[in-house]
Amino acid sequence: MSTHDQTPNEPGDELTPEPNQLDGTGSVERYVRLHDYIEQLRAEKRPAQAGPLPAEDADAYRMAAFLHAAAPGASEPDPAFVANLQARILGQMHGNATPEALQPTPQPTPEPLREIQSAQVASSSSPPVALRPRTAKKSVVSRRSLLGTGLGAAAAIVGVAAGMQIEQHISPPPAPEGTLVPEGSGIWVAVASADTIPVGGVKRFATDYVVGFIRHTSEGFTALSGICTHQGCMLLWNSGDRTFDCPCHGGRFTEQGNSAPGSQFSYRPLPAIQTKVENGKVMVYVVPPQQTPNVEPTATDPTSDHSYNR
Amino acid sequence: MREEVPAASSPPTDSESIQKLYAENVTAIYRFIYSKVGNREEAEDLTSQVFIKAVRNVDGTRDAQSVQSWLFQVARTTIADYWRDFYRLRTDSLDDLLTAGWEAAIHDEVAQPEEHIEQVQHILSRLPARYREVLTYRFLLNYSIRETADRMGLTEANVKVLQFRALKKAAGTGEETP
Repeated sequence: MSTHDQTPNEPGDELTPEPNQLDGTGSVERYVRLHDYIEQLRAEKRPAQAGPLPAEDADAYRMAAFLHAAAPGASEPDPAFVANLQARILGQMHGNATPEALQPTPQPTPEPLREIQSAQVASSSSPPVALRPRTAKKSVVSRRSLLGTGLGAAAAIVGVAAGMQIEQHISPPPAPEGTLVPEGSGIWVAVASADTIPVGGVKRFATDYVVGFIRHTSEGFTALSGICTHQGCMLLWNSGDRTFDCPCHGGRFTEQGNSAPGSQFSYRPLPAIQTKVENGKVMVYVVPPQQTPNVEPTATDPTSDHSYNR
Repeated sequence: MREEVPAASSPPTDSESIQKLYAENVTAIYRFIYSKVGNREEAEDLTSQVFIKAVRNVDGTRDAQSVQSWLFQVARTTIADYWRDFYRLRTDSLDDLLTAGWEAAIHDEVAQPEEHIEQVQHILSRLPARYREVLTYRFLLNYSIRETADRMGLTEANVKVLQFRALKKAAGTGEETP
């Protein structure tokens, strides 16, 4: 590598990459790999795993991440992410099923998982608004309609690790087709402007009680629940693979809402949400506020009728 | 070495105080994590992990500043685990790096954007001109490889080599001469 120590006379002389070594650790490999990493950062994508690579190159990667993060506005969190995470945390506090919390207690009848609260968030068609945290004792919707009972009951019967293994072998009952909210009991809410979602596009929306994704297909607009049917975590749209991915346990759904072939577990399909377009707005049919189909549990009472067994 | 999150000595706090903790710290934690991982997807994932751990373990008797320090500690261990997995480092090599001051080039807990920019400027100012130039083009001005190559009179392959060496130098382990 003696040429690299010389002060260059020509701009490129000293920068000619060395030929690849047979063991794949040649300089060209290292430059290209780091370049690919930088390009993925620029695209705000999760970089493919870089390893194994020499530990001494990891600092260059970290420096790249650090410099990239200094760009104006780069490190500001997405308001929708902030709101959704708060909802998850509150749901967790109220006894939402976390893997470590499950106990191997038999459940004679299926119980709905604890309700989750969603923080007040801006719809995807309006500018982000300041987060307004909710107090605990607001009425929320039972997630029975979202999750069904099969996997919920199975997960309640066994502990986490065992439960996850057993879930792999369970064939859940066929998911009820149709919509999330029975006709006549919900309201239409505008969540996006139709012209902001091109064909093939997927856009997340959040109303007071329902979060989901709008899809613009060749047949028009459809919508799916954005809650993982496993244990209620909020799904993330993976535009690269065109899947909905669950950050909690690795579940994946196709963009049609079915458990994806590559998913670690086979989950019930995501319920559909009715949509329509009116006056250029995409509208979804969701549960109105103040509707409490079940007895409302108190926030701090883990033994209420509808608490998920911890 | 996987640091354990210290368990609570008292039960988790109520919903309102958790919301307060969250509202007061989520942006700072997210920025801190983002500055370490450099992309939104991973930053959101790791920020979620931090707060989910926090909700399970936070000690309600601590004051706000103490809780914040504790949150950053949770964030650091979460990032360390991520690095270990991402780079598939052997445990002892990560420890070695941390011991050897791997953090030296980047001060910890850069929570404010102004501080971050300051650190970046400080790092760049210490570099040889060519290294400073390529990193400025690529990261501060966000130029593509092609655009950077045109401006610097280099081939794209040259730029890839130069940015590699510049990052190494900026991190404290590179060669002196561009």
